[in-house]
Amino acid sequence: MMDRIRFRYACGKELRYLSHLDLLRLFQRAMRRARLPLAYTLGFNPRPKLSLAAPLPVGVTASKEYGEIFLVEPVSPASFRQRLGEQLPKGLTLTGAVVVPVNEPPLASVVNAALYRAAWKSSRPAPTDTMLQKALDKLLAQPAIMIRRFGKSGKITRQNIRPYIFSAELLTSGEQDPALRLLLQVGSKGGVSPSRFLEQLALKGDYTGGEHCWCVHRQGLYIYRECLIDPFPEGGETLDG
Amino acid sequence: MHLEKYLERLLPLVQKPARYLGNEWNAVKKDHCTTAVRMALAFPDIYEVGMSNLGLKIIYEIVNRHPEMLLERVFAPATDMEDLMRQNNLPLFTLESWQPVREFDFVGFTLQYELSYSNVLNMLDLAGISFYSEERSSGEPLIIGGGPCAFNPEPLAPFFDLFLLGDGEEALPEILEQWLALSREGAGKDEILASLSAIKGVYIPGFYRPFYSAGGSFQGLEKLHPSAPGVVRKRVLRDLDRAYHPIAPVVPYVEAVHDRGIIELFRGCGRGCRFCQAGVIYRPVRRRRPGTLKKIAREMLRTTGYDELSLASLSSCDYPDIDQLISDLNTEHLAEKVRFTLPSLRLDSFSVGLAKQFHQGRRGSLTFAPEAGTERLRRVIGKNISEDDLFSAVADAVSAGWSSFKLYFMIGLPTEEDDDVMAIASLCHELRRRIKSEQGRWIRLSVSVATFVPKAHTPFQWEPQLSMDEVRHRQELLRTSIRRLGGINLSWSDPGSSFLEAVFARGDRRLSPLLERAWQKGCRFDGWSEHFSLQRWLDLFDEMKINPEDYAYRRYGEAEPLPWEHLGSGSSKEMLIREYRRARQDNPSLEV
Repeated sequence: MMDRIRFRYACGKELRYLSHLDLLRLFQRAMRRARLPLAYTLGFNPRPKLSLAAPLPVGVTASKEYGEIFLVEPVSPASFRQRLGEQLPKGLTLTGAVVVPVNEPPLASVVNAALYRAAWKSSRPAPTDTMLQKALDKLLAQPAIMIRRFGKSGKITRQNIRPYIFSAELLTSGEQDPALRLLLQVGSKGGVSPSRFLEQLALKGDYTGGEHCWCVHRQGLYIYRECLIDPFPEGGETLDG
Repeated sequence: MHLEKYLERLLPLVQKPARYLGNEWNAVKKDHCTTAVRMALAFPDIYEVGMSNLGLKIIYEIVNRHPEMLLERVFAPATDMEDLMRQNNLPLFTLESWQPVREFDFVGFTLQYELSYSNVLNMLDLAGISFYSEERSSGEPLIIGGGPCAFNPEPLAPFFDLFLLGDGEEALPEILEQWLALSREGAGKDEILASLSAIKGVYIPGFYRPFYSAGGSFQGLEKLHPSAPGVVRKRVLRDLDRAYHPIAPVVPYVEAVHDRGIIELFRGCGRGCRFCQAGVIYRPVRRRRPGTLKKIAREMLRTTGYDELSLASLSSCDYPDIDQLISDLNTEHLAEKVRFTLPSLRLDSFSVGLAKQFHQGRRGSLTFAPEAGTERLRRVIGKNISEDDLFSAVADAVSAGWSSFKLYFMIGLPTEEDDDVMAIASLCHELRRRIKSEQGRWIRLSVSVATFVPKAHTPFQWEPQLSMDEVRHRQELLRTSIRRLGGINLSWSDPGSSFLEAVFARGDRRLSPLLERAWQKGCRFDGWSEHFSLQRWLDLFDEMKINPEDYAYRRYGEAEPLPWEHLGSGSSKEMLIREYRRARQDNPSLEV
């Protein structure tokens, strides 16, 4: 009998430079330290059945990320959260855990949208709201936004990222530095990272400063069909921290 | 100094910024204001390499468990980080506190290989610390060095205040304690060094001055200080079983080269391979008891969450009842799916029993080190294993389910001829063919060929290194023979880096200005093929009027004074000479 737990966590600035693989290793080791009854894959190199919903871009903090783990014995979500929480380093906080049916499709295959907030954070002069709005309009009006991707073998491919931009809007800030709200596609069917988006935006704008001038935070991951659906089931046992 | 503001800005711009965070699991962060002795442990290579080193893990916990001491790590920044640090005038900082290294009381370099020497200077420069010991004020940290290269640290001598020879578990805390007592009394640097020289294993290079003949050969050392011993004897930890073993090592976020826990089964090696420096300097053999090891494994798994523990030593198959130990560990940690691995395997003590112990957690390949292609040459180098040992070890492993093997050989060994080199190819071919005919399957073979480097304190310390041209010729010979036979994957080391390694391995203090000049010319990460340039080094030797071949290619005379003879490895010169002569008579080396 297997048990499946979906958990929600926040990633703070202390750990924002970890890669997706670093984070997976971190969770695996934390779960082993917590002595959770992990279920393993079969074969000569057994691995815990652990997955994270969508890779978090390096340098980005996040408040609502999701992961899933299979266990060989039931553990209550409250106990899971306490035991794992004790083994997580500063910068990672569990904010919820819930039991989900074993036969549901993996979260990574259904989560397809990520909501980001990008705030200007640079010693360079910030673009005005008008400048940004103009750049946004210009960028989004294009039927296709072609970017170059560098493959592992040094092969360069061209890709249209326009379909992966669900929405991109200016958050009217008044006197503060400007901020953007971006809803971008993630997952196995393709996607675009906020840094690639911000780089393309700068190319259209009358300001200087690409992706390194922005501080990006991922606010949530969603299943996006007609509306945004939160991956935590309604009424599930969640413990908000 | 607050580096946080700068680092927040720079880290997003570099590769793998997680190398520089210092907030890994089990990292020790102590209060700088209330800790009396502060030491930065500097590893002169990148994070992923340094974090795989056992010595670093030992020293880290040994010092940090002391209430009055703290020790923080610093690695050589990768070149992209270095460029940004220089552009922004950011000094070298330790990971745990992001404090400048120059504000520490001690900077300890771990000297693992000669090709990291340019990184030592680069790290001192990045830290803003003067290179030469005599130029450093008492306000600057004491620069100390340890590790295998401390047994001939002469090329680095003027840059260091102190070297520690041998085991650091007891000696390093003694050094720090004594320094603390003396500095509280307001003692000056000379007084402190004089007092530290009484600690067994401590070598103060500034207390000696070499002299050379008119013709330029090394003649010996003159003692400059009354408290300097004629021969500095290495420090030996007597009871390893009761010594502290790290149980809560720092668990990296970035994948280390060896991304696993390490348990040291024993220190030292009972074999007497004549080329091997580790075999001499880590003597005698001292073991941990099985019960101690199992307890360490249990605790380490709980504190780290590792899924693999390496049972390390210079020759782990030689641990008595190694089969039983691994079997017990496998049984105890079955449910946690922990893999126990051995770093390299001894052909003559490998057995079916051992092969089966790894079966459930196997991955990748098994590694053996025959070192030479013919039995004659293996006898010369003191690696007394037969072809039958190789065939039966591999056959045992194949019957236990393994199919992929890595074999280590050396080229340029004393008395080696072309035939010995071609024998490597035929040996590998024969091995594959025999396994195929007896067990019905082709095995995968990866053959890795290093170049012999004569090392100080070994019976081969007098031997010349084979010239680079000749090494290239023999490598080509091997490539051709292996390619003709097929089915074997061959890799080899760069003859140029092995040459430089040989120069420094038997180097003296005349190489120090050269090293400084090399650093000025941009040499760093010489152990990395993408950064190493032989031509740049050859130009430097020209410029400094030093003939590198005098160091690397020369057969040293038995009666000739050697620049490292004031450093005691524990093996007498008579014994080394006896072994050196025996090698030429093909006698098996005497086992210790």
